[in-house]
Amino acid sequence: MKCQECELLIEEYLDGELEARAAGGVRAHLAACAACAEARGAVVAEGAFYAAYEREVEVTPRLWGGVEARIRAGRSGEGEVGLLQRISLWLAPLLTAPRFSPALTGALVVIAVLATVGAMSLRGPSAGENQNEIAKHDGAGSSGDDHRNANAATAPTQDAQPAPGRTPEQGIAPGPEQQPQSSPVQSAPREEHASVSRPKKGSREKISPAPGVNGGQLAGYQPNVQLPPVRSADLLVREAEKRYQAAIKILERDVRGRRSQLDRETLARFDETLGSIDRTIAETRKAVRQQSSDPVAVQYMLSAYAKKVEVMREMAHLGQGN
Amino acid sequence: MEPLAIDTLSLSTAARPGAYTNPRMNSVETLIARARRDDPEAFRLLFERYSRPVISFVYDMVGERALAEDLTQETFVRAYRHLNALREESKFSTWLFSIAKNVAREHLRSAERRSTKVDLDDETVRELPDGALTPVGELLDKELNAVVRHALGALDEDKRMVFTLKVFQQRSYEEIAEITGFSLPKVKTDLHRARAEMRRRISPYMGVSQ
Repeated sequence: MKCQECELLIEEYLDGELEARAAGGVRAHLAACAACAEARGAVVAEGAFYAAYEREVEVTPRLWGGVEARIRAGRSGEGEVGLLQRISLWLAPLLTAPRFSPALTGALVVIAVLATVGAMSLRGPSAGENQNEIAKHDGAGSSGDDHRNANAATAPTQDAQPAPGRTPEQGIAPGPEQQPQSSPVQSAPREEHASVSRPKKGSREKISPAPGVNGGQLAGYQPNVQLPPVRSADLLVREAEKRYQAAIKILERDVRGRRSQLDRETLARFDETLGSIDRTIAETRKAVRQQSSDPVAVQYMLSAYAKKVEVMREMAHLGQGN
Repeated sequence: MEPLAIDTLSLSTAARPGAYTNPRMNSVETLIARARRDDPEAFRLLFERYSRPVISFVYDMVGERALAEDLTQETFVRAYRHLNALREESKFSTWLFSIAKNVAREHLRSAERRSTKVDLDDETVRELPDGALTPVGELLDKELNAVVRHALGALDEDKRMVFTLKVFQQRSYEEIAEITGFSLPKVKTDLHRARAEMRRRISPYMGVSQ
């Protein structure tokens, strides 16, 4: 075998891809030829260099969490899936995919407020009696506006994004005339809405309807209202949290009265889910308190609140149906 | 409803061939059969076994960590959904890598259409003139890794794929041909050329790593 021929076969030889006869020929040549043996040594050294190569990737639990969530989501598209399973599917990516931008965080704040508004306006026939209580807790607008807002609690990430060029604040507080036609709240007197949407002093004024908003749909909002970015974001987060807490408090009363109407298994599952959500809320609240500017923690916390409202609404709804 | 078991992965054993001591219970064929019967635990074990090589391969192809994670997830989701299409269970790994290859390629093609260059996500990686720069002094391991990453990123897609599958994934030429869909001669040619290009780029650093 000539050196030129051997050089061409060295890599295949070292890869173990040569047939026995050709491999024998290379082996014999390498034993006799110092230059080719040196070439082989160079290839082996390259192999060692590559073997030391370390990538900046890891297999994390989050990776499997994403796969599992998507697999389950795929199954839910194929057949019937229970409510709680859907909740789990919805929660999993939220709790496992910490990638977002300041713009998304702003959108989430909007979503959070819209979700609360939707939850309170759609939660059932006893809504009217609680409106005043909401006003006590809340002080700012709590009505829905159209189907987008009405659905915000159940699908907050799909519909509630603010329009391009719009500040998050502009998408938050619909005016009193924006009640959904089918909502129980619609039958409540206008004065009651006025009391619900009346801004109180302090930070709540930040998210009350902008001037000129009351008469129209979201599209009628003034486009150029600006708030100091950092402060207003922090206020909005706190405001959203308070709204969620107010909504949860009200819903808790409804749910308490309807627990006896749910069967034991369903109740246990609801309690398990709520317990899990409560733990998430506690942990994320702690994180937000420690670092209020952390958008990841804020997203997780508001998502957990939204999910709790959704689950409790469903509990109240199921209890009604039974 | 069962709570999502997202925190139960044992990462220390993940993707380590032979990490599971009962071959009959956890052979790939058994796990595939169980996964086909909708046993989520079986597919999780398959994920644990193969996720590390798959994510490494995808990362080598796309050069971006977050993207590699997304594409790895996509790979396993597709694998799960098409598990019934797998004919030879013994070739699960090859089949899985061919899915990973498709997923990575689809991304690279779409990235190409968007005129984005497939490159490294590490901004600290320095530009390395081809073979012209002789390193002076010590280079950290991290920098040597960056050298390899950069050299990989400079290969064209076919060569990068073949090189990665051979050198990092230890695949046979036949398996590489199956995964990539290339002919055996093309595999050999691409691999030889890829090695030559890589050699040219890393040779200034070879002494440093010794």
